[in-house]
Amino acid sequence: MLDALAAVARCLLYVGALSCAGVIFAEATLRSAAVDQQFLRTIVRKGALLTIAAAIAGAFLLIFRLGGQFDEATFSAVFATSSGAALCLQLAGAGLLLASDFEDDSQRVMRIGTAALLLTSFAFGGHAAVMGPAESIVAFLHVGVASWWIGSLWLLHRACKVADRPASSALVARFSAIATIMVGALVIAGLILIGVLIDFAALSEILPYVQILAIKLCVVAVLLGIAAYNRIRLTPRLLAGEGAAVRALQRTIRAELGLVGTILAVTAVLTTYTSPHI
Amino acid sequence: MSGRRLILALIALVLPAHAVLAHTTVASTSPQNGAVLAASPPVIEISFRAPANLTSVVVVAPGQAERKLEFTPKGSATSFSIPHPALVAGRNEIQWKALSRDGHVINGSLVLTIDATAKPVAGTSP
Repeated sequence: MLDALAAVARCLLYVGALSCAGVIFAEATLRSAAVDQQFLRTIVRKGALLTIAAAIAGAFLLIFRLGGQFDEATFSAVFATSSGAALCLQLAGAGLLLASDFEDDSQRVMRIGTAALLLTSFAFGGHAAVMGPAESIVAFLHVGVASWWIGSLWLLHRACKVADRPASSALVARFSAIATIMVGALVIAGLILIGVLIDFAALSEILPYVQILAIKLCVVAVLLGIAAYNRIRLTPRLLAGEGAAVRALQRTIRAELGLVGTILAVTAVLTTYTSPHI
Repeated sequence: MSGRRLILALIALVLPAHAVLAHTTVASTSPQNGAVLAASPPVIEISFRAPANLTSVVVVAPGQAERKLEFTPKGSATSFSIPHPALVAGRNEIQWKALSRDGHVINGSLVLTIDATAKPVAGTSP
């Protein structure tokens, strides 16, 4: 039961951190009038609060999963290891984003840096960190680009709902131009991580990891399929001024967000219960 | 996918995983798991394949309340010692929990039986 709760807390942590960091990255790169600033602040604040709550819950759950003894050995394991470093980065990053003044445009660079700081907690702890700094950097790129995609989906969904057609079309066009490169980088970084993290010599002993990873890859494939449909079919119709394309795009973005949630849930199960090596 | 369906899917993913995916990374223990000893050993050693943080060791024996055992070191290490476990006659299950280097909670147990009629094993007499 504690393990299941830990997986749920980790999933919520992923949703919170990747959403709030992602909308900051997306806003910085898309730079469009169609971005609803109020909505962006709401996502950042809700995401940061969710990150803080899930990180604290995760730390308490870890203490109980390790035997529930509030003693030197347990505190050393929870706080004086990479788990503790990740917790500090999550609390500091989310706290700073929560306190950020969105009216002050000069803080934009600091917000981007803080969002990156928050995401380092996922890259410089866990499996990749054990392998070495190069693997950590690849993991950071993977998580960073994934968060950019998630943030962009939030902003695109909002723009399709409230922005006028020329503004939302411009935003979609800008996103499409960048997304091709970003999604390519995301997939390449993911494949590199699979290649370096998995102990292929011990496949029979890490079978649960491989099986859950296969589920994740299947969901990723469906997501990429929908993204390709948006890029190849819906975006040209939207840019041609077809009204029905906006509603269709809204529907497919909702589906993409649902699939992203599923991927994060599967990843939480993957990282809570299994290991890519023995 | 609606929020409710997503939550249900998440729960469905999480619940069955508990029983099947636990893993341990112990390289060796001394005495070995399953050993039958004439008396409680002066020390129990648990060695991991990679550095870990041992956080909890308890001994469970029939008719006895679960008892916490002290161990050293308290930080990250590959090998841990449990001095003076004071195992009682009969079956003793020593259950441990630890945090692996990559942040996984790992756990396991070793069973030691104390039988006064058993032949003493070298290095394990009190």
